[in-house]
Amino acid sequence: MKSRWREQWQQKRSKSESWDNMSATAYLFCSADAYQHHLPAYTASSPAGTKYVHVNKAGEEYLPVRKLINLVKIAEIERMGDNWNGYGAEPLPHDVIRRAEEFVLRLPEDAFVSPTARDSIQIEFEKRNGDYFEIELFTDHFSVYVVRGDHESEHDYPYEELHIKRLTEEVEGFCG
Amino acid sequence: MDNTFAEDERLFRAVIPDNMYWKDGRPTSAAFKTRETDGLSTDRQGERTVEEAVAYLHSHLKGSAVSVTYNDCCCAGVDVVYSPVSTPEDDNPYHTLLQGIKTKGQARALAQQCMIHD
Repeated sequence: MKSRWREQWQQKRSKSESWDNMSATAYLFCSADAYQHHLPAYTASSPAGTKYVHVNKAGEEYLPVRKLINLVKIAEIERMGDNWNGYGAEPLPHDVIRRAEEFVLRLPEDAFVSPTARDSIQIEFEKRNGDYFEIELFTDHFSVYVVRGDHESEHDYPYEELHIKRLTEEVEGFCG
Repeated sequence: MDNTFAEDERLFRAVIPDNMYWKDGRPTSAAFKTRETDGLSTDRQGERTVEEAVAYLHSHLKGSAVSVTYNDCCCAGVDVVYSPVSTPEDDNPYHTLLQGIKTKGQARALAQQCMIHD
């Protein structure tokens, strides 16, 4: 079931000549069961049509394509084996992978996702004026680094719903 | 070579996987993060030209080559430690560690300052 959205995505990609042809308004329709595989906790605790799953006028559920791109990227990260960076990095922990999927779905779609060689995944947002919002996901906590103008701050938080919800609001405010 | 560096001596690193880190034509700071205990492996330029150093890096690592100067590291509060490797499995007389990358700001500074070679 996990591969369904990936297959759909690959089919969609094969129809496009390049990634550039995928505009921000192009969406890939996904079935609800694909989400349930990835996020059993969310789908079990919240009804269909949560903020993570968009619904079009026809009642079909879909993910914004940028989120889907990031989920595909996270799936690639999950497949990386020993020495994936050429400098001896180890595969990323599965719980970090799962957290990354969760955060990508909850946060605004303009995220840029990348792995680090210190058992973490980085999610970042950046404005044209240089303001920067970075979230680094570790096994037992997440770390937030924000640069606004000349001011920068860095804080660690446990994976508690209160903090994740506050973070989501902050990032939404940052992205405007 | 010893543990002294000219201010403009470059320290080279391969960005791998090459499809993961590039944002608007530059590497993201995640490419400069490693476990604090490990240090970030680079190849120092030494007496070589930039082209020779990049060619040597690509002789044992794929991916795009980027580099920062010793001065970039000093400005970011990163320690540069020459640590050549000579074992049956690995031999790199240019190997140099960037140590003390503790904050996200340091990693971002390196990402912003780095030169992209290919």
